[in-house]
Amino acid sequence: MQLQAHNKALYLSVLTGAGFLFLAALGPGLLGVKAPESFGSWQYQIFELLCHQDPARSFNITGVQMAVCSRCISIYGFFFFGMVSMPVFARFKPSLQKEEINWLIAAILLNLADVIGNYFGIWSNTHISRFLLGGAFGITLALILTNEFFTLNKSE
Amino acid sequence: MENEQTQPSYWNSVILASLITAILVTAFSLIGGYMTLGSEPSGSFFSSAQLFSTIGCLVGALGGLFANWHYVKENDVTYKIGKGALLGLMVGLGATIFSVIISQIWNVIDPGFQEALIEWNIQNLEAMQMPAEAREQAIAGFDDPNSLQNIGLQALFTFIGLGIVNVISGLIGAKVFASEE
Repeated sequence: MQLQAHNKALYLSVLTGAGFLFLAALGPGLLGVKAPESFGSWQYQIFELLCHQDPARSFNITGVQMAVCSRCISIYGFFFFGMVSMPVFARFKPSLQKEEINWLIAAILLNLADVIGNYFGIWSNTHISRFLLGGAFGITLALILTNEFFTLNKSE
Repeated sequence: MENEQTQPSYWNSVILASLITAILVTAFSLIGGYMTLGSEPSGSFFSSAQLFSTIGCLVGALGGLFANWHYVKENDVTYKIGKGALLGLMVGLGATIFSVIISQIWNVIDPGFQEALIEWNIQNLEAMQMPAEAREQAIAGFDDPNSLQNIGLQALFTFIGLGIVNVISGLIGAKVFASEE
């Protein structure tokens, strides 16, 4: 069986966009900018309308807050990892669109339940729990797209 | 279902999704801003009032998904995911334009809002534990937010963020709603 690539230009564009988004989401600390100078950095501005950017819910790099919260950095990171790993995923999975959609719905519901449970004081989520649940969402987003970019050619 | 050669215009879906996305993200931003003004400057880089926006996290990414859902629902069509990505990109652009327009309209409704936010941020910087020189440098960096240059820069950054995430949600939307499988 041979791996076949489709929509190559689109795949490379999305891969580049996802990579850029992930690097930008890591924040100005990645580029060695110190905390006082990082105020108003372009990384923060890109995600201003996309994430609450709450310091208590975000990781730091060299003492500088990331541009997004721990859940969002995991979504962007795992989605990028999923895009990079698509050729590998395609070798291991047949086309199972319904199953993938169910995984995606499960990941969304888990994240929603975590947010709601935390909001109403039923439990307190942590950096790690938000990171893991965000990652589950990010990776399923990439999984659902795998067969659009890579398939196994069974005739060969 | 109609095939790709005879597909109807998608502009209605794109404009509707752009408008909804712009209203939501701008509303969250404005409400967060007013909550910030209602709090004491704590010396933190971001206001704890932004916690309100936790529920709005990534809401700006739903535009591409919504545009594809609406386009398929209204026209009963199938298409490839490339078109879904295009719809998402246009929603990102449209939402950026609408959010700039809504923000400018809000500046007319409440002309003191931007100035009050800058004043709050300056007080917040003064409450921070940082060298005086760095603080002065940061305060000097507060330009007029209503200058054409700053509006353009903010629009560019907004478009980069909203554009990429809506391309991804557009891909997912096309895969889920418009796939022939």
